[in-house]
Amino acid sequence: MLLEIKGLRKTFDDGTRALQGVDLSVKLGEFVVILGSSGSGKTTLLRSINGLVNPEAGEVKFFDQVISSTTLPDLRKKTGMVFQDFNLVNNLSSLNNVLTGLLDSSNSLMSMLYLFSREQKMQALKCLEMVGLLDKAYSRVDKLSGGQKQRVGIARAIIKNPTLLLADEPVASLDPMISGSIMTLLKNIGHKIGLTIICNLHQVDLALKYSDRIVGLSGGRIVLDAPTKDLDEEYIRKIYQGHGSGLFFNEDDI
Amino acid sequence: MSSSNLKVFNSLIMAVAPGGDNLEGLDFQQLASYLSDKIGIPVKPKYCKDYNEAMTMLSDGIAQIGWLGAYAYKKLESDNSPVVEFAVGVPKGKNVPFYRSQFIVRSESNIQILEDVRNKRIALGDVYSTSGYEVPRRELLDVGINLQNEGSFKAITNVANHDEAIRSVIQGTADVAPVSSINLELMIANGTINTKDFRIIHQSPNIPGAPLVYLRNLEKNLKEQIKSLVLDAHNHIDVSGYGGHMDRYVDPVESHREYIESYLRPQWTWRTIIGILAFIMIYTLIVIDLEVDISQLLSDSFLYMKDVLGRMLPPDFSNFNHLMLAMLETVEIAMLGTLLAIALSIPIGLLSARNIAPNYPIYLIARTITVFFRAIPEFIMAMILVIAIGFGAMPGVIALGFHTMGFLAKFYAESIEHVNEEPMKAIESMGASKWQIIAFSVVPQVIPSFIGNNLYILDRNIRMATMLGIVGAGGIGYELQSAFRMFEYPRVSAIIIIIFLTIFVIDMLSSYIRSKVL
Repeated sequence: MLLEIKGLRKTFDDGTRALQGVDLSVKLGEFVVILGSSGSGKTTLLRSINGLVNPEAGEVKFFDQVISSTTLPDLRKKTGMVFQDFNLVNNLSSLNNVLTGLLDSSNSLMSMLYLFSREQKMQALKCLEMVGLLDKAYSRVDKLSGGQKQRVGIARAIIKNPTLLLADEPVASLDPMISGSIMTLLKNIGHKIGLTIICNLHQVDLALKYSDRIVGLSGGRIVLDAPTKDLDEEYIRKIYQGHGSGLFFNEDDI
Repeated sequence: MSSSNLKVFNSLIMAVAPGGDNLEGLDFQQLASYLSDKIGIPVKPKYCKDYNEAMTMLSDGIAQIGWLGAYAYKKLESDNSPVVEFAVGVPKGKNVPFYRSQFIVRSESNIQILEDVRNKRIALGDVYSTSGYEVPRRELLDVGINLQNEGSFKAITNVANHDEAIRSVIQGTADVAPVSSINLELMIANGTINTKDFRIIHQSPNIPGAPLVYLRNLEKNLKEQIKSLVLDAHNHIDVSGYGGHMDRYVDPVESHREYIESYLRPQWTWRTIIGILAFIMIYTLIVIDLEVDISQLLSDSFLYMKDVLGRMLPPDFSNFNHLMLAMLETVEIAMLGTLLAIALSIPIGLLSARNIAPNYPIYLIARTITVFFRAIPEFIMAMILVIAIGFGAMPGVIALGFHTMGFLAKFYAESIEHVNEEPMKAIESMGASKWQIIAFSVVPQVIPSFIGNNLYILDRNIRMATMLGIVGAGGIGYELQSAFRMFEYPRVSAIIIIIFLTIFVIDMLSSYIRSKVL
């Protein structure tokens, strides 16, 4: 098992109970979508995996090793993260943004002068080619479109050759057509380099179309965990209605 | 697949997608006969009428080897391709297996840049053509022209291949055409077209050369045999392929690495390095010209400094109340001067912001006013005003007000120019007047920088006002000046301490205000 999460709980200082005992196992090479509306706890769950959030109870095991402050750096070396708002450095070129993914293994003095080795640059260019942005390598990212920015974000996340990719609502800021192409890209890259992907989404159609497995989250609890091929929109709708979640809008709400 | 697969074939078919008019630009004949000789079964090129036919022949297994053009091959690759690439041709006279898509127009055409292509007549290739369709599509999209939208052009002529596209531009049936650099160079080389007849207005980044492919499920030995024969062929025969004569065929892995390498650039461009060197040189020359001698500064001057400081201590606070009143006067001058600057800067700042100024002459006049008052130091202005209206606070206030107006108006204008225009459009779309737009979208956005800039100017004016007394414009500067003249160094140090403490308190106060309002 690549990842094993047991009894994860998190209550924020303002009293929000984000996670109320979550158990989840992820196999190597799986494309898991965590489906839930905003406030369901999916961002907290994802961030608990790479230690951006400290859970109050429960444990996360990565390759059979419990994640603690001593094992966290190792986990972070093996995970990449893709963000909803891309979190790129706007004034830098796409290439330099991708190269930031290699900073932990770079000579700190040289990297302060933006100097990277030929191999590192080749690696970054290959990642940009993989996301189809090679010809934008030297463009500033603030000149790129939203979809292109997220492609740079993906290239940055995969440059370390991670085992696990965490994607937090990667297409929430993009229009539906571009969303599809970004999800396809994630899936293809996952296949190509044998990447395990955990992706937060709130769109049921995207989850059904691209994932191997769907984990439904509602009110900080798992309400659904099944292979995607066994699921359809009707079934997911029924499950969520039972939990009073806002994953779907009821006509009464509008 | 079993190893007996080889025996099934009594010939191998090579499906070739269209490149030019004829075999001339896409000659696999020699390579095919070389393979036939070495493998022992006939290898026959089959020239297809379009990309689709070539792809179908391969995916149906009718052909075993093929050349599909880079894009069509990529298309196959994405749909769980039945083919794999095994060799890429390096054109003769080039070291790299790349080419480009080039947009050509007639020499007398008024099309200068890619943007001009809009509403012109364009000749386009097959949608599966890399340099005749797919790459041009992306290049045009970058300048906001959608190739798939017929409304982007006056007319679209669909051509069968690059040669036809080139001809249609030369003959005038189309205004512009994106074509493969390989076909263009070939047609120039064989004299079909003259370089004087056309211009290249735009060219794409490198496109990887299109590979030769074979079926994935061919028998392993046969695949290896074909590959090693093709990669070695240039040592025995004159190889050719897409673009005519080939220098050699290379392994796609090697060609891919070279392709990526073609995008390597130094992290620091020559321009940046030259800039840094020029900067260092200019400052070296300045230091030499000014005869800056740090060793002298450290030896002699240090002793004099020690002497002066010795005479200044201890500070003499004997007329403390008088000095404090003078200091208060200085602060008052600064505050009034700042208020004057703000009052003057609001209208002038608005008029010197490009997005607010009603027209260009007014903008230019407002800008000139701000530059003019920035250029005259308040010191000079105060000196003139002292002569004109006499000693006292007034010349100081006016000098500070007008000089810092030059700065403040510029700051205001800059922050107004950087305002996000989208809310302005939203308010405008709902029928608000110009002044209402300013009040509801510009003002709220510039308030933080407005307050920040005003506090900075107040801070600066207090420091400057202490000096203005020296030219007779009132305040503590006058006391400082007379103490210096009388060689009363302990009083000088007392005044300096009072100025320091005042500025310190004002600084604390303004950061407090900043933290509260910004």
